[in-house]
Amino acid sequence: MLILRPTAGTPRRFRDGWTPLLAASVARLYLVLLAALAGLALAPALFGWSGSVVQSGSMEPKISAGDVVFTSDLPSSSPIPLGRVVTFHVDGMLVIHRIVAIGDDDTLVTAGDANPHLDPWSIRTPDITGQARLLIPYVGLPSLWLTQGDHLAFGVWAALTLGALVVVALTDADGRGRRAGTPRRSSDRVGRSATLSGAVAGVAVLVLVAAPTSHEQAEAAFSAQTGTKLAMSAKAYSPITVGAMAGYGILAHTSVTDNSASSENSSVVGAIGTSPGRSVVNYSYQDVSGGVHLNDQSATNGMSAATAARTALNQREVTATLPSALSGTLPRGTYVSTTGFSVANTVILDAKNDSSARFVFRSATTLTMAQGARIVLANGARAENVWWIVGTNATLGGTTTTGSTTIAVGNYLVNGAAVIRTARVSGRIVSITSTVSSINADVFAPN
Amino acid sequence: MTRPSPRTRMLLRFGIAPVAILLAGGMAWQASTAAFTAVTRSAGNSWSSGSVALTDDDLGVAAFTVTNLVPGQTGTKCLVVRSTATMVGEVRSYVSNLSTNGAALADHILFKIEPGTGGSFNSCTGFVASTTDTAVAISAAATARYDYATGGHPWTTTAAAGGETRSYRGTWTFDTTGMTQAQIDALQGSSITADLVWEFRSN
Repeated sequence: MLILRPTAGTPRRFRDGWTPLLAASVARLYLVLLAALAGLALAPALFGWSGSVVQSGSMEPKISAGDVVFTSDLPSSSPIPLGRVVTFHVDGMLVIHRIVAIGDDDTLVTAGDANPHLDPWSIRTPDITGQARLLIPYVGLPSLWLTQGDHLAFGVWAALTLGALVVVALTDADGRGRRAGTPRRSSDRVGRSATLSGAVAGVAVLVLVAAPTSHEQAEAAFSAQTGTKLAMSAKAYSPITVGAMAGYGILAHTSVTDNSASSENSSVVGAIGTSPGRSVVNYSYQDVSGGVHLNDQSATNGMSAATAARTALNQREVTATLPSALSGTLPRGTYVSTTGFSVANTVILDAKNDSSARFVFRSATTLTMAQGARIVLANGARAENVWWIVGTNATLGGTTTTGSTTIAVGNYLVNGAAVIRTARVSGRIVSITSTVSSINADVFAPN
Repeated sequence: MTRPSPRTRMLLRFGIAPVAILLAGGMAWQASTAAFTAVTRSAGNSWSSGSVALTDDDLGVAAFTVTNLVPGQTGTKCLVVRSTATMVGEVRSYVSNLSTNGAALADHILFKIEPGTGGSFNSCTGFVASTTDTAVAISAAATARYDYATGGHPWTTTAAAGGETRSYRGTWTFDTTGMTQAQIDALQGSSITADLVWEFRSN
């Protein structure tokens, strides 16, 4: 049995000096601090406060990633804690930020202390999960390292903690052995002391790693925004409408004259009007179902409606500029010609089952339909939705009164004289500036 | 130098625990009062931890302002977004604050955003798309991508010194395919506004 008793003659052993004592003290301080912080991180749960590990740094410098924040419930009756730190749910995250303003409609504006911008979201009182009450620094770091995959930091921390544990255990054992002046055979004491320290530190470590996993993770993310505006509006046009032209088969600025041989009287299903002229020649009343209006209010309104419709039609976007000779099948659209339109044979207007399909033909100069030429409406196209804007004169039909009939369809708004010969018009003829003359023609005004 | 006396040893041995516990309590108290009793943002003095800024080159001009839209009309605009964040993060884009006035124009404005390089707000010349996008109605885009969580075109920023940029090309079309004339006419004069947002969040 070896009895160790310090005497003046005995050389000093290193472990009896100040250095190991201070090392042990620092280690012990660290371990107890660890345990105390861990204990603090558990205690608030007893009050019903909930803890969260802060995951990121937008609340720097006061709240850092790895801190544990405890919040108390915020009763709906209590005032909104303006300027205080709260946790709230938004976008599927739990966020810890400060309330910096209250909007008009009770929305809350929040911001991270370190964020230059206000948060992009707006929250309401029910989104708030609690007001921050207690901040325990650093405690969540080990779990943060683990969840973020920073195994190096975690390993260093674990090694340091283990080292502190070993230092305390060793010096404890040594100290107790010597202080009692008893033989140093106390492997049981070493065991007991190490077990005690180990248990404390072990619990602390468990708490530090495990407790945060039972806590929620509160984001304090940095965010910033930029962006640009989109502002679009669809063009508005004057409405295209028949308006007061309704009921008229023929309208003219100056006069309407039938030049047919007596056996080939022209007829109009609808009315004839002139304004400001007062001349309708050779039409008998029985040939005009809707009556004749000589510069009366109705005729004047009809002429105004024609001008308005032409203005509206001229506003529309051009679908295509076509060669002057029209032929084939055309879908709805606004078609223009810089030289004038002519129809030699058949033109089919295909509505593709859209009864509102509009067909607009704008001729800068003349419109000519040859003898027997035909406009055919297909797949739901309607005569009232077909418009011919003629820049100068319109001639519908050939020069002779024999031969096949020309089939014209639509509203013909002519800025010149209109001549209808051996033709059948489903629509109306309007001479905005001049005269309409007919030979062997039948006009059926759409209702 | 003498060795530490037994008294010193005892003092250190039994004095340290209370000190550490008091220290822990003090740390928690100090941190809590500092963070939770102040009621103002401490912006300005808190930038040591990092800064984020996301800017673009539109100089405040709305990129996609078009009036008098007519069916079939289409347009393109480029925007260069610059991140000078000092931490890594991700930028995503989304549509917010879509508001419509009148008919459902938003259903007929097809829109797409393609990320890439080159080009500028003034001109898309030099823009090269890195990925393609399928145009969808702006109303559908606003339903599908309305915040950061649902945002698209993720761009991982690396906190590069001097900032980093990415170009985006937005293409829109006023599409009236399949509509009747009456339906198209009903869109006249209707309008929409929306914010196209690029948002950075740190990882």
